[in-house]
Amino acid sequence: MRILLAAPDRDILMCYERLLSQEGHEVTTAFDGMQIPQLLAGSGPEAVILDLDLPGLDRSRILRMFAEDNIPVVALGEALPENADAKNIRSLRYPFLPEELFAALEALPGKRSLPGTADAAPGKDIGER
Amino acid sequence: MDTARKRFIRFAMLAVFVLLLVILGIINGMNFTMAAADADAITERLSRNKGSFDNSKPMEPGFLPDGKMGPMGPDSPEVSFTTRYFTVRFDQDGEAKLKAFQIAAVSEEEAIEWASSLKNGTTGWTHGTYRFRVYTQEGKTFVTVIDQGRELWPSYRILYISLGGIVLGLLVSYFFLSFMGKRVFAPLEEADRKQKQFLLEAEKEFKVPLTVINADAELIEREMGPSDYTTSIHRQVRRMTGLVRQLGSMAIFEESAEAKRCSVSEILKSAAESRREELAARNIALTMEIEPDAALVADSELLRRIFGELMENAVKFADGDVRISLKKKEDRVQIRIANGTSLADGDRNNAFDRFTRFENAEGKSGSGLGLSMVKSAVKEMDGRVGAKVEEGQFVVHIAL
Repeated sequence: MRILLAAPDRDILMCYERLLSQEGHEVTTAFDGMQIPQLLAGSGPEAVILDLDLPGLDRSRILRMFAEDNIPVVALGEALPENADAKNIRSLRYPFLPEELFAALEALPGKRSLPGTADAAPGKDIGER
Repeated sequence: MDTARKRFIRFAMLAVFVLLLVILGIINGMNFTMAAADADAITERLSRNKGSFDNSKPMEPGFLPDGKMGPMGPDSPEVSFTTRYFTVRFDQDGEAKLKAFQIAAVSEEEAIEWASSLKNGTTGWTHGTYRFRVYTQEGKTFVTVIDQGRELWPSYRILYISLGGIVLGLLVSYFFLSFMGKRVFAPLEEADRKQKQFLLEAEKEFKVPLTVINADAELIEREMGPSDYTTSIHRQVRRMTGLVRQLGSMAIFEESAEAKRCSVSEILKSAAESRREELAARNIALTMEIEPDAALVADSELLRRIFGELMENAVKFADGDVRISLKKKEDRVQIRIANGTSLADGDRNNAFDRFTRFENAEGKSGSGLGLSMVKSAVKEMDGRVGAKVEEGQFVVHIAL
């Protein structure tokens, strides 16, 4: 799956770009809201992981843009804007575990899974490894 | 903190009321007791002369030539002139005769009638402000009744003023406490606000680093293989994640923000649906019977946290299916969240006590604070919450 990962923290971008790539996804990153419109051009992402605290971002406008393009979103952070189209969005609060993010991606409506993502089983107890 | 201030004002006013009641009660009690004693002294003086005053011997005036005070009160020489009274004598055959009659408010017939009804008593009050005494002399029974209305009037006046004083005292103390309460609690409210602000900021600042640490540990394991150290990192991060989430919940739970009409059905449904996949991965079914359009005036964020905490609890400890129901009952809402459990049947209301963890919590993360915070929040909303185990289901029931 082509995923756009947008978060202000560079370490989050670095870790999860690698983890999502290992899960078989093609990942594009953004650390500022201003970068997003040009990343949506062309063969845009099939899903977006968006930190709601991303700077340079009008949350309501960008979520509306994703909804109009039928791009499902995993929203990272606190409460969604009131007028957000919740059908298109899965919320995930910080701090989250990698398997929780993978499970949220799996649960997105209309997403297309790539082969190799079957290992991202939600609820796996890391402590048992 | 607003609740604490109102509770302080209520208790302080109760203390003022009790204090005024006790002090004024004692004063008025003593006043009336002393009035009764004065009246008894007069009836006793009358009884010494078979129910009338003995004015045959000269009595000393109030102020003596040498400047000393003469007899005062019941023994004053003026008492025989100011006391309104009557005495009825009952002969051995029961015949009643008026012995003395120095009163205007009662007729002779009424005097005999009153005395007949009192002759089996000893002493006491009758017909409001009349004091009586029954005594026997030379085989005959005497009933003396004196009118203490004029003497008691000041005592009643003091009583009415006392009652008015209690009401006035409560009003004054209410306004004073309300005014002072704001000033006394202002530093406490500020400290409380700063503490909540700190909890929320700390929660925010911890969250992203924890996410990064765990992701880094995951990457290390994938690239270099798992080790005891990465397992330990995961374990400690899980523990810190739980604590950090509860830090934020504590700040939100303690005081709710603006309440407005919100859909309880939608909030509960959303909280439950967000855990469906997790339960499905463990082959646990989630069933919901949520009546639509159940709405309340409440803080929606607080409701989200309450239901989130209850779902967290249900999912963490579910040994079997999770069932959620919401029913509307007039202007209230009744919610049940049940999960399969291995706990024995019985009342489990102590689940809401701080730091309580049951036997099935062994090996599971958590501080035992979540449900206690839920209870505090539900109480703030004037709701009720309880828990029990019945037929293999741990059931939390809330009425809002």
